[in-house]
Amino acid sequence: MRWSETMRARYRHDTAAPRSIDILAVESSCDETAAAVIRDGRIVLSSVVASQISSHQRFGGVVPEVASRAHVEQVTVVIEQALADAHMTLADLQAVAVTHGPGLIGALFVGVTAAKTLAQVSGAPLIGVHHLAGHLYAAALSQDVEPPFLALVVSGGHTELLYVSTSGSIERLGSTRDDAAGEAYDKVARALGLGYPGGPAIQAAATGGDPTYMRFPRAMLEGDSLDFSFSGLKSAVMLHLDRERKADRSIRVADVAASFQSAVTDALVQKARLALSRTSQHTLVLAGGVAANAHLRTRLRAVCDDAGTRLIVPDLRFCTDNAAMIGAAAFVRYKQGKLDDLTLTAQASIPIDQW
Amino acid sequence: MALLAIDTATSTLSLAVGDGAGHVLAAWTTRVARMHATLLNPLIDEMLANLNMNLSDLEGVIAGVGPGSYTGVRIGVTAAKTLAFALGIPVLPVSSLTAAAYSLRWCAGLVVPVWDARRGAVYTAVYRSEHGHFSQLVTDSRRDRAAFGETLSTITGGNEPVYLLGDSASLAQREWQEKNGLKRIIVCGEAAAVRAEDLYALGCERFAQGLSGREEGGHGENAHALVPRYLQMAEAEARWLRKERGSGDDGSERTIISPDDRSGHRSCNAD
Repeated sequence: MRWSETMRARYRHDTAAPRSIDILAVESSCDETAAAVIRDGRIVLSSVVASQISSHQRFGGVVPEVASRAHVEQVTVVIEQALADAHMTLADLQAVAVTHGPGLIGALFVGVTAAKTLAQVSGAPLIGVHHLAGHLYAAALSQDVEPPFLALVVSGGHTELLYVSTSGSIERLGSTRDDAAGEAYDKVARALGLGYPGGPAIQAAATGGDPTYMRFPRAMLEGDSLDFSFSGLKSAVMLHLDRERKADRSIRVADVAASFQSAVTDALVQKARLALSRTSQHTLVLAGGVAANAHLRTRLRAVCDDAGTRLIVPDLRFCTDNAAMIGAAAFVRYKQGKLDDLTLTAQASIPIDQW
Repeated sequence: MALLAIDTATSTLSLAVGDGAGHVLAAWTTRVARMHATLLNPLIDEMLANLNMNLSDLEGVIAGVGPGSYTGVRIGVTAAKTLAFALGIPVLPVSSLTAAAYSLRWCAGLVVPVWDARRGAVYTAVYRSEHGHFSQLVTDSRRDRAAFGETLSTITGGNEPVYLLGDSASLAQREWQEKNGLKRIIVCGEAAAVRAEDLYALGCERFAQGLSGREEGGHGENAHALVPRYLQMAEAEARWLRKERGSGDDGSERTIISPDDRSGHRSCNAD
């Protein structure tokens, strides 16, 4: 029997009567190879993340080919661990989900091919998940989050303001026109000699620093735009470092880090505030790797308290890339019967509103 | 017993299913650029359905592990290792170059695949075919194309015919004829391509020798360890190493054949 028939029969059977839905999810869009088993989109039965940070540290950033190679080495190991931690076998699953984009194309192919093959062997339905949708639903793993809500996704690859409607459809309100916020963190951290990844490094360096030491630019773009821009900020920091070095002055690392962080946070917070007032939403979900930044969390909390808005922040371990969040997003699709077939393929970029 | 052979290292995507006795039951080869990831799983599904078989009927996987396109080879290798892991069956890595050369096992002479590896280099190896008896003389490696003519002429002594296969075959033929006086060079194919029937023929004997057998409950033998043979470091990594060591080491793998390498795919009287 062809997989399409087996999988349809399985889906009909599993959705005919109320039962728990266990989804195995795989994520390989950047430098983490991850697998997880998620029940009903919110209970984490297992979540395994094999980080490649140590492989990329010496390059000061993620090298796509190095990442792709590491994914091939790790992918079945991580999947086996996720199944073992959940005390499950492939036969117990209701679906297999995978990040199919956006991300590093060579890296994505590994996860997508592994997931398609697992779906094929297990006869379970296959669900392709947009990486950003995964970040959006990361919060659902620790608390009740029901659309509609507004979301601010900030990571090494993304800076987006999104609106999630009651039906789950996602509309992009604004996004970065150049560098992602996390990317700016990485570049500035490298310039300051703080290492990779830049987010935690700058946050640590900024502790005790003077955020008013330098007034770096906050790109607000045309007055009412919800887009972001961080390349000007990054250049301003580089220019400052250049000037100081040429003048033979020692770099005040803590003060520069604090001033930079303050500029990034100002831009994110102001656009979030603008989006909240424009959409009259009462829930804001913060997501993505930069959501782990304590400074950003504190500032957003203050804004939301002022506006009477509920701020939802995922557990720290689900802010950075992981497969649990992919399983959470896949559950939404599973309930809607939005299943993929074996021609599912990796895509380097997929507009979020087309997912 | 059924075996599945997969190769996606070149712009050819090739699949074959065979029984345990050296008979190909079905084979599928397509050459559609940048479609390997899209087509591989549906084609496996389709092929098995036509044979009235299920994935659970498979008792082993034979994987072409390159060299070739980095992204391409990863797709087939990932599918092969995931199949082996999920079905609990063994997976056997086979060089894609060897499989390509094996298509000429009935010739008499040297068989040399020359696949473009950019910057004047080729992925190559040297085999000797003697009407079905097939052996490897130079292990898979990335070589400077122009310089390799020299190596080859010391092996042939000038008399043995040399059969070239691959997208650099015509270029190599011209260079090696002019510079190295290799007169008897015949271009047998101008594409870097692997047919999974040849991969299967190389692998099935190994399975017959006792690699087969389903492991109960465990993951497939070698599944986790299966990786492509890139024959080159990632560029960033090679550059970093050069800086660290301050040497001209380009990170290429060693190129001298050891008895170990040869045992993997030496003589096979297939079919």
